[in-house]
Amino acid sequence: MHKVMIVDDSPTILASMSGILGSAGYSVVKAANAEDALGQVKAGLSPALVITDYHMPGMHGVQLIEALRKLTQTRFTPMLVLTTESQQEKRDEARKAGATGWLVKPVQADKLLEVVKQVAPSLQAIAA
Amino acid sequence: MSGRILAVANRKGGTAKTTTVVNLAAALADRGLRVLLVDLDTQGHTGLGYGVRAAPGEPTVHDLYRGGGTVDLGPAIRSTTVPQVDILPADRGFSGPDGAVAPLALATALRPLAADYAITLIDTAPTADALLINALASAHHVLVPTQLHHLAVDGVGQFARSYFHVATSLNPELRGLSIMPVQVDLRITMQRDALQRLEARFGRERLLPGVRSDIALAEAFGREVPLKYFKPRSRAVQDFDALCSHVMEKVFAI
Repeated sequence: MHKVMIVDDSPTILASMSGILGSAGYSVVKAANAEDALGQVKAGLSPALVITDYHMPGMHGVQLIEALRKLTQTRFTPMLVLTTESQQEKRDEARKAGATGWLVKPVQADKLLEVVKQVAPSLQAIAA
Repeated sequence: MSGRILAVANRKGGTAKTTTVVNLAAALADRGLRVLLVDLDTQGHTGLGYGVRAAPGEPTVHDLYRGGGTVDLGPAIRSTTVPQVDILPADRGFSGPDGAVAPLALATALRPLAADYAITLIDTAPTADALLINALASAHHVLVPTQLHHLAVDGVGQFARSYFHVATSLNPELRGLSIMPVQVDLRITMQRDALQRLEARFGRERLLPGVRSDIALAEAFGREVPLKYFKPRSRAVQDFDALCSHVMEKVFAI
C-alpha cells in the first residue's frame, strides 16, 4: 500500500532511485523490467506512483504505462517516465499513453523529490 | 511546490469557463493526478457537470462568505463519480457576502486543503467582484478561456489588469496567465484575426491550444459527467487532452 514502484533494467539506477526515495521516507518496490512490474501489479500490488525507465529490453516504459492504464488498480495512478532523452516527440508519445510527467536522467535528488511531491502530494503526507 | 492552484476566469460570460474546469479536471485525473474543484460560481454548474448538488443547509464553499460561517471548508468537500476528482460545491442560493470580503479569505482556507491534491481548479463567475479577487489571490496560475471574437483582445486585456493587480499586490505566488481559445473554427476569418491579435498583444507563449466547437460538450452536462465519460472519442475530448499536457507543463514544469 502507498508504495512507489521503480522500474528499470539497470541495478545501479534502481539502487540510486530507491535510495533517494527511501531516505526521504517513501516505501519503494523495485521491478527489473516492464514485464516484472506488470506481473507484480496483476498479482495484487497497487502502487501509489510508478516511475519507469523508457528504454528497457522487451516492453518499453511507454508500453508499460499503456498496459497499466488498462488495469483497474493503476487506471488513475501517477506515472513518470525516466530517460536520457528529452525530445518533444517522445514526450508526446508518453503523454498520449497516459504518462503524468517526464524526468530526464541523470535525475538530481532534489528534482526527483520535488516532482514526486507535485504529482503525488498525498503520498508525501504518508512519507512525512 | 505541491498543491498547485489554477483559477479559470474571464470577466466575460459564455466563454466556457465551467466546461473547461469540468473537462480539464477529467483529463488531469486520467494522467493520475488528484484534482479538487472549487465551484465559486453560484450557478453551481461545475457541480452539475459531475452530478453534485449541495442541498440547502449543506456545507459549500460560499459558507466562507457568511457572517459567523466556518472557515474550515474540509467538511464541504464531496467526492464525485470520477475517481481522483473531488469538489467544493457552490451554494446555488447564495445572494452575496455578508459584509466586506477579506481578499485572502479563500487563499487562507483553501491552501491547506489544496495540499492534499496535485491540482485545484477554481471556477469563477463572469464578474469583477470580490470573489474573483479571492480566486486570483489563491492561485498560482490563471487560465483565461476566450472566444476568438473581435472583443476577445479587449476582454482578455481587461481581465489581465485584475490579474496584474493581484499578482503585484496580494499574491506574489501568482506567476502565470495563459489564454485558451474556445469554440475554435479557424475557417472563420474573424477567428484567425482575433488569434493573431491575441498573439501580438499577449505573446505566443501565453496562448494554449484551443478547443474546437463540439455540441457533445453541452450534451455531456445533460448526463452530468465530463465528456470523456460520455463520448470518449469526440474531438473536444482530444482537444482537452492536448490542453491538459500544456497546462501540466505550465503549472508543474514537467
